[in-house]
Amino acid sequence: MMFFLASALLAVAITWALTRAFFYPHSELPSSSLERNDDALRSLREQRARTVQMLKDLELDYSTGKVPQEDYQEMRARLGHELAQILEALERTTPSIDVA
Amino acid sequence: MTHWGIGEFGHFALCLAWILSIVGVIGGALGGARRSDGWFALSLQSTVLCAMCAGLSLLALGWMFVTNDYSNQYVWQYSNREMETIYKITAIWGGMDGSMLLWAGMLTFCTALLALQARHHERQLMSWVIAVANTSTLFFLHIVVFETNPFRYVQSSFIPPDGNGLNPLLQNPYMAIHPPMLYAGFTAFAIPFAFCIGALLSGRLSNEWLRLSRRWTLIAWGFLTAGIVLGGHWAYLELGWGGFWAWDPVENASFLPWLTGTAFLHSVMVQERKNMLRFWNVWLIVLTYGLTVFGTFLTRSGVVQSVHAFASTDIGEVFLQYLAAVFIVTAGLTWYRRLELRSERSLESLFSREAAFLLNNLVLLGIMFATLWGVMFPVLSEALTGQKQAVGIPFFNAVNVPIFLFLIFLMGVGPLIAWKRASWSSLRRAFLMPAVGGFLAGCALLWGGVTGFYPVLSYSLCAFVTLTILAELHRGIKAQRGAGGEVEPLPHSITRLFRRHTTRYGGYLIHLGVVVMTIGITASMAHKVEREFTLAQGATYEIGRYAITLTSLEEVNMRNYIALRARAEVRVRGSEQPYATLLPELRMYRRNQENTTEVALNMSLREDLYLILSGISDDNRAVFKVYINPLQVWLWIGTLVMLLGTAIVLLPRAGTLVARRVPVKAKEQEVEI
Repeated sequence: MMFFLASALLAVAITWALTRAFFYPHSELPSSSLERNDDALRSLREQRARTVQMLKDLELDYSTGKVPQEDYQEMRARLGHELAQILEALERTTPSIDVA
Repeated sequence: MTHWGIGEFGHFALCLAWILSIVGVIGGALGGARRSDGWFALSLQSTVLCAMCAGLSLLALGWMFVTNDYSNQYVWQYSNREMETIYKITAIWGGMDGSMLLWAGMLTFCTALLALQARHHERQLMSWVIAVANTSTLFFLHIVVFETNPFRYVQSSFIPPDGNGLNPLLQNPYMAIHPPMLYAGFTAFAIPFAFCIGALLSGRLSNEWLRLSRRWTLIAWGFLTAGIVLGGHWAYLELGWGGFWAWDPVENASFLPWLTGTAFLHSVMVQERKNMLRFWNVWLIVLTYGLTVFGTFLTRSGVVQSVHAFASTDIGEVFLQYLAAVFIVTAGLTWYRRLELRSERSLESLFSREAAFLLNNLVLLGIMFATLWGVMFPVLSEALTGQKQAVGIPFFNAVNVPIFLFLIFLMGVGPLIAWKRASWSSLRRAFLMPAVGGFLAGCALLWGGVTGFYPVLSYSLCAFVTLTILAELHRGIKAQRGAGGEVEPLPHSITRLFRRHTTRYGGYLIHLGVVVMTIGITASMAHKVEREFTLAQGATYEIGRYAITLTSLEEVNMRNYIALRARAEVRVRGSEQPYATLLPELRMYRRNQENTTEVALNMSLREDLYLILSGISDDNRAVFKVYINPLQVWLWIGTLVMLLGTAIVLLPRAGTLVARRVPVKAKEQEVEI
């Protein structure tokens, strides 16, 4: 009897949780502008850290003679451009929190 | 109401998990296709609940084992009252049904972790990723619910008072961790696969899916590495043949995805850096996932014979159908996205890091195909000629040893060679010292009396790779000191270098681990000493630098087995001091009347002394088999170094950690680089 009740309770709890998630998705997902900005900022900061890391790796490769000059300049320019875009996006995203 | 006990509860939870995985597939697909938050949230919720239900199901089965519930057929078949509690728990994965449940449970756990990660990332991509991951889960849960249900009752109204017992070979501490490690590796590879197919379905084919799945790939690879080596260690200690790897079909089944997974880990670096090999990477990860499924098929379908294989069943066909579906869908998607998958650049020179990585991939695939050919040869020969012909250890060694040695060579070349195009002067600068060092090491070995082409080549290559790693470390420290303009103590420089470039130097540490392993494998294969002898009580046998004296033979009565135990005192020749006491055993398990040998092992950094009591001769003398395996322990030490390297690669980068920790409640202020 105890296990039957446990099974029934489990089924009811799952149905309730699924219904709630479907009809009120924002109870599950980051929804407010603040939360969405949190996610966007986290993602941008991770991208920034990754791009900075790639630049560091490139510098190390260049200084140890593993990237030719021409390639180094091209890749550095590309990564610099990416980093600038990320920083711009960070600038754009941050003030919107104040609005929210 | 009929009886509803813990078995019914476990089965009910399993069925709920199956239903929830269907909801996860539908929710994820509709969330991706309609860009609907509702469906996406539903898929995330159902994925987490699915893992919870699968976990409850596993707990229910575990409880039935621990409480000796022999009304359950699986519990009756794989445990008995005399077994220690730890082995009653490990018996969950001792047979086909429970191992499939564990597999499915671990897969739902990985998918649930993915769902928790997914809510903070781009929704369209993640919706599809969740849908694909749930498709994998659904397949395995489908097998468990409909084909290998572990909650079946015994086929009679009489409940047996005791169970059949677990195979004695599996009553070993390694069996408690080896299969879960292996399954963790197999199941975690389903996540990068889901990212790949999710990216193809959503059309988001930038490198984002690689970035998000990178950690999963490394974790899967680390677990698979640990699982494979633990399996080797178990075989070494338990099977009593003096070796650790017999190219057994089931061992090979775990090795195949490790090879393609390793290739993938290398080729993603080329995609991240140069936007090349995009099509190749898609197929590599699909192949890796496919091989994990294929391995399950091999182990459980009965197509190959192995000491590790589960009983033959008819689920093989379902696995093959699923595999065919995976490859057909991938082929369709890659054709549909062929323009977006085109590389931005092409290979400019054969003397470049891109080319070295590509060659490394081809070599790894070469080993994979050679091994697969050996595994499938009995099946193919039977299909073509009607006679099953197996290939053994000599075939695998003859084919794979030279390819492996070439791979070791590439391991030295890859990190040192320049991207795009290496000039002759840079090649000379990078490789002169390591190449001379490797050559001198080879000469020294020949001069020291080491013979045999492969051993000398192997040690020389190991010296070459070690020197390339040290040279690379030296260059890195020099560059760092040059940039900082300060001279700091060497340990500080090394730590700083590792912290600033975790992926690169963690990777080198993994390479160093492979070198250490290779030395251990080469020495134990090439210089192994093996003898069989008989000894009367008090008599001594001399082998190598050891003198082994049999001091006693006694019968030991344990809880679930009787053993004949020999006590052998070992001395180093020329010394009167005791060196070690070895206690090999011959065991007979009462319940299933199976005999096993328990190896006695004395491990040292120099060599392993490995003693087996094979039996008693007609004249009442103990029959022994002894192996001296030089440098064997370095194989296990090398694995630990590899895992340490993997852990370093997995360390979060300093910037990323800050990005995660800082609460975002105020205006973004810190933009330090």
